[in-house]
Amino acid sequence: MRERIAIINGLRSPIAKAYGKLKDLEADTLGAIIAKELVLQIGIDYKDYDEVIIGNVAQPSHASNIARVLAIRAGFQNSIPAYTVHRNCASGMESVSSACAKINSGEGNLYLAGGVESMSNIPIIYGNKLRNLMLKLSQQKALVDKLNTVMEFRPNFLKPIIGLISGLTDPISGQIMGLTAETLANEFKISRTEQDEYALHSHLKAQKATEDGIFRNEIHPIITNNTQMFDDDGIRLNQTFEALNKLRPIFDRNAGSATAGNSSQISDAASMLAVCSESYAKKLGIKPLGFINDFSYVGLDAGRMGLGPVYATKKLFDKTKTSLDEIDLIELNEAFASQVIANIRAFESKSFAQKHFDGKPIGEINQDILNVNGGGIALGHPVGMSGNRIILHVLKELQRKGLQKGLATLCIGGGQGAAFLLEAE
Amino acid sequence: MKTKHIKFDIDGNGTATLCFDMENEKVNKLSQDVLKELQILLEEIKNNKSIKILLVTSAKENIFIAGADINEIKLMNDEHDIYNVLISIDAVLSELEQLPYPTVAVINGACMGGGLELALCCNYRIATSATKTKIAFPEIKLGIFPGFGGTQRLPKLIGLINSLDLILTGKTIDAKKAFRLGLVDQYFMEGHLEFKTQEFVDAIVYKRLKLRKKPFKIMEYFKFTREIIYSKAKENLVKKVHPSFKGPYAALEIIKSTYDNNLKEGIEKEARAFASLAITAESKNLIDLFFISEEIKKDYKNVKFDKKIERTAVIGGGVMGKGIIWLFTKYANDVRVKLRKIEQAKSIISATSKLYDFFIKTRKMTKKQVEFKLNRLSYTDKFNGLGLTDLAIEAIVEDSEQKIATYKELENNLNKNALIATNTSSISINSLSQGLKQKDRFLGIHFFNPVNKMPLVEVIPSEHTSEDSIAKSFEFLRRCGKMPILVGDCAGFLVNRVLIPYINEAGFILEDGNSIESIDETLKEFGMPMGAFILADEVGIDVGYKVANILYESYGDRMKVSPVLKMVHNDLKLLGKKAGKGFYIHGKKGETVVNIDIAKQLKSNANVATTKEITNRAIFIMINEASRCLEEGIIKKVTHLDFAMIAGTGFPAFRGGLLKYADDVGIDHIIEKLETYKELFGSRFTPSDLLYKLKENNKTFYTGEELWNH
Repeated sequence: MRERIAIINGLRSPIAKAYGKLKDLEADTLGAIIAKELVLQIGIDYKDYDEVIIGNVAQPSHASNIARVLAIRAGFQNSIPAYTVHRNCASGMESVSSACAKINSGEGNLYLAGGVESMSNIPIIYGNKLRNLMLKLSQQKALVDKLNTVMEFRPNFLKPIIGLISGLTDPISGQIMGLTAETLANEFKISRTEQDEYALHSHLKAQKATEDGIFRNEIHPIITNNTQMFDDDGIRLNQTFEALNKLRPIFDRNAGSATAGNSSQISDAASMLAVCSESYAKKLGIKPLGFINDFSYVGLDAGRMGLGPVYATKKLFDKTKTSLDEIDLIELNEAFASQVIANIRAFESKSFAQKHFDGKPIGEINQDILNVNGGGIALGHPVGMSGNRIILHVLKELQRKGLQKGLATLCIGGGQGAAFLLEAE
Repeated sequence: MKTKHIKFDIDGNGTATLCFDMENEKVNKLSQDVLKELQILLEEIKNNKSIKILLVTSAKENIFIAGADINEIKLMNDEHDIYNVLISIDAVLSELEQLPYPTVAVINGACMGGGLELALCCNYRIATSATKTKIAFPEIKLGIFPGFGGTQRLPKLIGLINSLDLILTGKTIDAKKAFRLGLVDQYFMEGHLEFKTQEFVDAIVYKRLKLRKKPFKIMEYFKFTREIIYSKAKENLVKKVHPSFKGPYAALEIIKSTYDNNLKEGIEKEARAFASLAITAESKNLIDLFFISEEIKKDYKNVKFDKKIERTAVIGGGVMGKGIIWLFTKYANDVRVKLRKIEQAKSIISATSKLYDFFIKTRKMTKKQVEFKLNRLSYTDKFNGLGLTDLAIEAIVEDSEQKIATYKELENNLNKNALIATNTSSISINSLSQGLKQKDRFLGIHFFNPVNKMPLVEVIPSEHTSEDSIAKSFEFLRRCGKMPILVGDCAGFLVNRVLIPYINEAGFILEDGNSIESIDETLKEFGMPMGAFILADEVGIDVGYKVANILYESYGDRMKVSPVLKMVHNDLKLLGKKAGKGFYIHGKKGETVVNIDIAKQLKSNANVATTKEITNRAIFIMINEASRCLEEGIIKKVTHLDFAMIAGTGFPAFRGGLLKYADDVGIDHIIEKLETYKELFGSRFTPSDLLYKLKENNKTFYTGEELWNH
């Protein structure tokens, strides 16, 4: 990276449980509310933005290239281009890194980079058999032919493919994401108790942060004619270990340890960041929320995709010559409790480092600075949005606490990892 | 022959063109000159054997033919003359109709009134689907009806029901709708005008043209079913149109009575009925108002300014705030809504979205379009996100201190070019501007309730407001489909100041021993869109009472709040329609019954007034106050005042306006009545100095401008 990239400011919506308060908002509309609010609050004219880049996983069929629809809805002029990026769970980060790359290549100065997801609106799909039947039917003119074709219909043609489930199934290993968590639980010998304890803390931290109004620094409420939402609603208030421990494993009913309680939730939300070069911010006389020092993406075995953060952070730290003890805050996305714990172990493990890296482990994570206000388990994990949110949250927390350096890292379905090195000043 | 307004041309294939291009005019009109030229041209070309087909076109950018020349109609005062003129025009149009070769009207632009009647005389009509192509018979709005054979030819072409719908309402349709009705034979995109016209011409010339079959209309086939149509149409008119507004009734009658006549008889009857209508005071008044509104539309049009208003902010989410927010979502790029509590946003967004339901239902907008409009709205409970705003309008409670505090916040958060406006209905703009650092960009923009329906907006500059700020506001308000009018700064401005005495007076009349129904019914008979009490309910009794008190404080005894209004507000604590109960009880479906609680509270007086006296008291007291507004320079022109009262309160347009009505009644008579009422009911009826001056100088409001404009 040549120049440091400034994040002027950011905002996000509250994270809603899927099929809940925000179920009637399509992702483009939801994202537009946040994008508009952020642009207005920053006060730089819409026309000064070079482009709008939006990360989104389940791109709605009514808005292919959702970024463009979102941008127009948000009030951007027709002349401002927009495109959508997709890197699974890191889509909301990919929009930011795409903006960084464009700024550093001199293509532009100012970008709106966001992540949106409405998992409530992922459609249910009917299979190819039904499609073929319908096609044939529409092509036939004679009634007799049509009738014959109709006779070919079988009830199993109506068996739906739940888009959400196929989306969360790894296309390479064929495993549903939860099974990759079980793989890590096995490899790192993580007990059910450890996982539930981790989940419990995620809920308790998120509840406290909400009660203290910490998220209000980054949330813009979503209000429409039929719903209103001010805070994240995935947090189970006053959660207990016992309650979590009662849940049955869902991915492997008998031998498994990942439950609905210690996995992240499916949710609807949007998050936006305004990104520019440090010099551009200086020229406008703006004090940015913070800076991106550098970022890294890596690839790994899809079946162990949860370990993405270890690989990505190792690469990032080597590249920037950073050591773990310089870091004041870490957001490591919580896809599954076992996945977070596996990462913690892999970060400090010498044998892991010997096997996979140069033999030098990254270091021991101070758990007091990790996911300080809870993560995907308590708040929810709207896939295309989460990456954007954790960058925003690290920067907001650095600013609030007067700290300097932060790490935002996550695992990516399909076997990738991403890590961003963030700075307050 | 050398022609000035119509160009004749013929190409090698025998396709001839009559192209209308009126000299020194932006639009084509069927003036006497133009028609004379048409007559001569038709005479010349009717036996031209080389013509295979004739196209009637226009060279004007946005207009086919806009209609007859209204000025000429205005100037004609003799029934017999009008009849003769019409018959001679009909003769010209009949010539066109009887040409020996096929004729096609090529409509690419507004085709209104007389223009449409001319098109009806062609064998075929083709039109472009461009938005500028508007087709209508708007005559009804001027108190007349189509007089060049429109009432005769239209029903034959598109049937009775569709014709009545167009002629009696004056509504405008586009080419697509006209095609569906059978009014045009084909429509196409403007870009295809040239070759689609050629295709159509070829089809006719080579006899390949297949026109749609006219649908059989069973309701129009039998005499008794036609009777049903007529009586239904009449029923609708009675419901919506005041009986003094004769145009639509006469149009219905003429269509009905000529249905079985041949064209010539029908046209003669039409001309006779038209002539008797065109000389009525109602029609002259409506034509005058048309010209007044055209003049008002030009106000401040020539003042140049830097940047148009595109992004707006509305402070406050009450009844007015909601209406303004809706308006701005429809016409501005952005609406930033600042609320006291963010929780109010939901009710505001749903109110805004409800106002769009009408557009979805009538298919004027799609759901998607409405969604995109609603996306323009953003909400906040802080004074933030205002940096890009071009106009911030405050619509909070009528409290000077809170308003001034709001402007301070706005000044701190807006860019230096943004306008700050207040929607106050009663507080002086000058006093509100006192605390501002930059006074030239502050002004009053006063909308009327309901904002989505009321076209009038009072624009009130303070003594510091720049011309630039006024012009910017005018331009924006016009883009919002409103009629802005410049008004001076005083309590109540123009419309409320003149209207509140009317509501007040109704209260006094009620107290004298008359009933709510009889008063409201009388005022409606006069032509007001609603009685004074139902109006008070609509406005909200709390709002009306507050404004009435502010006016009382400013103007003293002549605006003393009627005890009835005080009692209803303070003792019965009624709010009006919004709470379901005021002078009337308002049902869920909009039905109303008089609230008998009010009569119970009143002492039984027996000073029952005649309907004449009720009207005179309520209307003359308004005339008196209006004359004071002229005197004080609150508004410069009497025509503007009259227009404002019509557009702002629904004062009956066919009466020409409040002060036109005063002139018609006679200044002497008004003074005499006011003096009598002063003796009987109190000093609020003391005639204004201007009224006496008019009398002394033997002038009327419409002739005595020098008596108030010095």
